[in-house]
Amino acid sequence: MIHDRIYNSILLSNYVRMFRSKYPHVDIDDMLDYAGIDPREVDDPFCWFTPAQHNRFHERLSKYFNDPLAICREAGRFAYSDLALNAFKKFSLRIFGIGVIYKNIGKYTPAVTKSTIFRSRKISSNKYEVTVTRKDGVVESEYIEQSRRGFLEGAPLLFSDKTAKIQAFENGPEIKYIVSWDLPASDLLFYFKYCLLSIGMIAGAVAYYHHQYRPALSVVAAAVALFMLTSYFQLRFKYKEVSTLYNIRERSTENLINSIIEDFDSLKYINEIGEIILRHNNLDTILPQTADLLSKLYYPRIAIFISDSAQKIRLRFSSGFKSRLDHLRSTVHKTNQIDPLCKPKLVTRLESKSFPLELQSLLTSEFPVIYVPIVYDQSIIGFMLISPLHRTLPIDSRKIKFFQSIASQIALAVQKTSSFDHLLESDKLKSAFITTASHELKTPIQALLLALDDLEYSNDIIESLPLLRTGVERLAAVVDNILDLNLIESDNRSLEKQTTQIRRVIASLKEEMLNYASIYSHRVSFEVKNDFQFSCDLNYFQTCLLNLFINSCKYTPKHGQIVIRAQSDVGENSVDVIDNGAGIPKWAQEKVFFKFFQADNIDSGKIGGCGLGLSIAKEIIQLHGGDITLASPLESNEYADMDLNTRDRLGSKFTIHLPR
Amino acid sequence: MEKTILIVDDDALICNLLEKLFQRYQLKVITAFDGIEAVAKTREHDPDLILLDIKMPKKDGLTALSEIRAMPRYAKIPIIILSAKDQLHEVRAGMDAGATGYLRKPMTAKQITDTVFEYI
Repeated sequence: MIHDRIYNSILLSNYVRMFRSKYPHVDIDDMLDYAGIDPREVDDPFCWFTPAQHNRFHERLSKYFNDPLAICREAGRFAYSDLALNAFKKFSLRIFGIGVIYKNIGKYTPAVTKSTIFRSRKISSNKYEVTVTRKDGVVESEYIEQSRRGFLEGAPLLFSDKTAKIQAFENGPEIKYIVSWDLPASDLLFYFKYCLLSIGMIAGAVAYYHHQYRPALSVVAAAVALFMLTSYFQLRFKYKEVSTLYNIRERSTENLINSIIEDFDSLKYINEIGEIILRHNNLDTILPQTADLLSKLYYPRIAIFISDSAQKIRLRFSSGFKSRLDHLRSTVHKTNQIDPLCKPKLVTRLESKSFPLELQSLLTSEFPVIYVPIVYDQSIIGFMLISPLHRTLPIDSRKIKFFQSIASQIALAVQKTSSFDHLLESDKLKSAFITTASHELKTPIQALLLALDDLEYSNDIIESLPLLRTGVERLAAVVDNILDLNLIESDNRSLEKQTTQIRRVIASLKEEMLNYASIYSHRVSFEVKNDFQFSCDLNYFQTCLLNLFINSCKYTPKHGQIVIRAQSDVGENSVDVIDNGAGIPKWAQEKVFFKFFQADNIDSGKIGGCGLGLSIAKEIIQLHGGDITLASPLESNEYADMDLNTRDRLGSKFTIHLPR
Repeated sequence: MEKTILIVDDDALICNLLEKLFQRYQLKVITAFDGIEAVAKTREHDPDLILLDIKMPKKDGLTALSEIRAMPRYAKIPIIILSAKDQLHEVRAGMDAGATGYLRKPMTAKQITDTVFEYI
């Protein structure tokens, strides 16, 4: 209800006229701006305002007046002053009498307010009862009540200095006002007019019946002439009323057309900005072109602040201001200083203290600065500072909507360019991957070519075939591990690190490990001596741990034992993978981490796999700032329940060392 | 006199195959698996040509190359790079470090031997 348009603009334009003629200290633009009203709407008789806007307007009165309620009452009375402009209008109203105003009050108030219904009842020729009924849901402020009283008591002011006396009786939604006034001398004119008529008629009748009273006819003529004269002026008054209304209507049509043209122009510019955004992928191209457009609209000074990836707002582009803005490039504005719901506003007028301190330097008296927040998805992503060319250029609600549209276009541009940057980024990653992949494949293929040549030359299949097989298996191994190798070999070392607990990581791999170990009937146990927190790329760390585990499983004869142990001491965290397998001879202990090295290169017996697991694991940990070490054979006294000390159960322990 | 060729590559399989290849041509073949071994074996065996890979652990091929070139005895020795690094800037880097030739893996056996015998 508070946002229904139920009050005609004439109510506020009455205030405006009163301020202009009697209270020049009032800043009318400020009053209307505070109420969210466009000054041009106030002059438009077809415009209606809401109670919310009226409330705001009345609120603002206390800025300029000590007794705002008295001002409202005075405004009510002032309504009649407009009617008092024309002397003939006044004369005609005198003929009709003040009672007419109250008598017809129910007829013309609906053209002014939809919140109440007025009814009147004549009590005597100088006393009327006016009943005002508030409609359902209407909540009236004291200000409105006072201005209504002023209006009811002001009619006698047309011909005297005294207002009418009012008594009010409230009964629920109804208020009864008893209005009484002193009969002015003017009513005598009314009687005078009809006396004239009567005299004229009597004179006419006398003249008709008695010829000697022919001179009376001239009296009749004079009386009738006077009567017709007053009627003429009455008609003229009515005509003037109608023509004024017509002129107002014509003017408002003109206003309407002008505002449509302006809206169209605004749309045209918004469209152009949209096209600029479509054509370009870079904010550094889009923002200057947008600024060019705005300067064509007489906003030559613009500074745009956008939030970066760390959610800090920085100066992204500026033009038109003198170079003093350079120092702002390094300053950062926090987003919580800005209210996302606030509308574009003139900063010199309103609370400059809510403006970040560093930007105060822009608020000089030379030109006003408009502050426009840039909002995307209900949160602030930046703001603009725009300054018009001329100080007097109006900043009305239409312009405000225009700035908001520009801000949302810029928000779209920011989204588009950041998506585009992501695209470029992932393109780069893709190219890097392709480069690494092709690079990695070249070596196994080279081996194959050489092996084929050897076969061709020696014609000895028995000897050459194993070499060929190895070459192909190498190739297969590289393809299998191409993603891991990409991480290790490429220059784009993009680890997605997160903080996690070792207990959780081990728990996430338990099932897979137990399943794999069951192939070899190994017994697996997990010991977390100290649960430590560390930072790692979860996927890669899991790959590393799994590779070590699989390696231990493969090189331990069936029915073996594997232990995964996590502990934290002496300044580092570590994870051990311990097995009671065959152990690794000293000379091979360095080589196990080389690419494609497999124990069965030397011994007989197939183990399977590709020989890359350990080298990848080591690279992964080194990228995390740690290392993998190997101890073999195991010190038997450390592992009470491990079955060791037979010829083929020397055991080995791989240790992942992680920095604290 | 028998010519000696030093083959440097961290991949044992490739070293093995290249060794077999050049042994067919009655060349004596020495192998090295990383940059440090490459420099050491150059000094020890005094080869007539070096086939050098770039990506190796401990010390890479380009570093080894500059170290070998720094020794006055080997300033002019033919050194052919045989590497999977095939980008233009990588080839330039190799030639700038003092390589005599650059072969991009994978090459056929014939291409490798043709190039080697140009310099031996």
